[in-house]
Amino acid sequence: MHPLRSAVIAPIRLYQRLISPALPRSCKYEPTCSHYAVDAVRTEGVLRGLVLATWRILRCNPWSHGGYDPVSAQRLFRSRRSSPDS
Amino acid sequence: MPSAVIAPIQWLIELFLPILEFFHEIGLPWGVAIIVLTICLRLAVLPLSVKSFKSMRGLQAIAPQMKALQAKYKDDRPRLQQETMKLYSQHKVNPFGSCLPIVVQIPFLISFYYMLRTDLKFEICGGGRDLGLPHDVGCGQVPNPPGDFIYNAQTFTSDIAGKTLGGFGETFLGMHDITAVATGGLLILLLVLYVGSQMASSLVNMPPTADKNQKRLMLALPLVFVFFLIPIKPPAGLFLYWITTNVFTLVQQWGLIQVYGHVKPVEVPEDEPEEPKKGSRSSGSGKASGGAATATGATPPPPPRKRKRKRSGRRR
Repeated sequence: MHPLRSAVIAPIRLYQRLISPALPRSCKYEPTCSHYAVDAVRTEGVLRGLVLATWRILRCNPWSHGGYDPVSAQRLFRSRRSSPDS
Repeated sequence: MPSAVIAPIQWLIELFLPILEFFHEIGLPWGVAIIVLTICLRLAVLPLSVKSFKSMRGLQAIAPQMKALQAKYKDDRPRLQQETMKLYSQHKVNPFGSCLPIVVQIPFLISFYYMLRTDLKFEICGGGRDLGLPHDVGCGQVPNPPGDFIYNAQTFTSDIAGKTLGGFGETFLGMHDITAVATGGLLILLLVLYVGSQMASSLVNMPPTADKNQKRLMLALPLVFVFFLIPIKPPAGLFLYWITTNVFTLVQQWGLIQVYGHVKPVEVPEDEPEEPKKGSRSSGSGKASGGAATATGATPPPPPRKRKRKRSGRRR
């Protein structure tokens, strides 16, 4: 994987390993916001990935109803190439 | 730090400081001003908490459908998780909190921290001027400065030697200064109050889905935080903010239960990663969650996404 993408993903992984297990589940989406961020950066790149992750966190608010929402369902960016996960 | 991080914090400080000054001018001690500001902030986000609470209660209504799903996909946990989440969004209920309110709290906490150390300290100890005081020195330990004398952090100890101390310090509930780092017995008292209130508020906020291990972890978390808190040297006022928030959460939860009634526990599949590997779970949180992270990393995005095009139109 790109070293830059790995560098961006590393702190999210750290959060998932150290902090998140001790907190109650606080995300109404599946995959959760942090997993979504990792997937987004990995498949879409750092800039688009971070924009997607930010948009996801903004959507994960008390007025939304959550649900199943993978990165491949995003409508913000036109997919550049067929994503490896579909 | 990049200015994108500094700017919102500075903006928040500039927003809070006049409010605190206003509360102080109408006769409240600084400590009470912080508590009142915290309560105001929590009241401002009260509608969000009500919304989440109602959303959790709705869970009871769809319990039968959930049972059916659990029976149908009992061997396929990721699929069960997705189907459950779809069910939630169809019925507009959700047992889980949301990410945004938690993320939003972080800049608030950071700006309180910096405001107490800098702007508010200048306000309380120096009449709005930066006296160059070390962060861990309370105003009460500072002599009245003659004229425009500016204290220098390096020569501070020699500066105050032989001078009358206790210039413009303001005590609050035994704290000699809310902008100074708490030490000794006061620090212990604040830590105990913080840990106690944090544990109590996470107990009442425990989602109906939490299992035993998770409950234990959540209760242990404030104890872990204490180890991070001590080197950061938070000003005593930050504890006031934190403890007030926790107490507010307790009262709020009690009030919501009085108004809307209890949330009955409903069996919900938690996508807690430790589930598939129960064995490694008991060996400690670090190890279990490590395994979990690798597991989730290796898991390819789940296959059943046939309906997602339709759904994505109304996602918010």
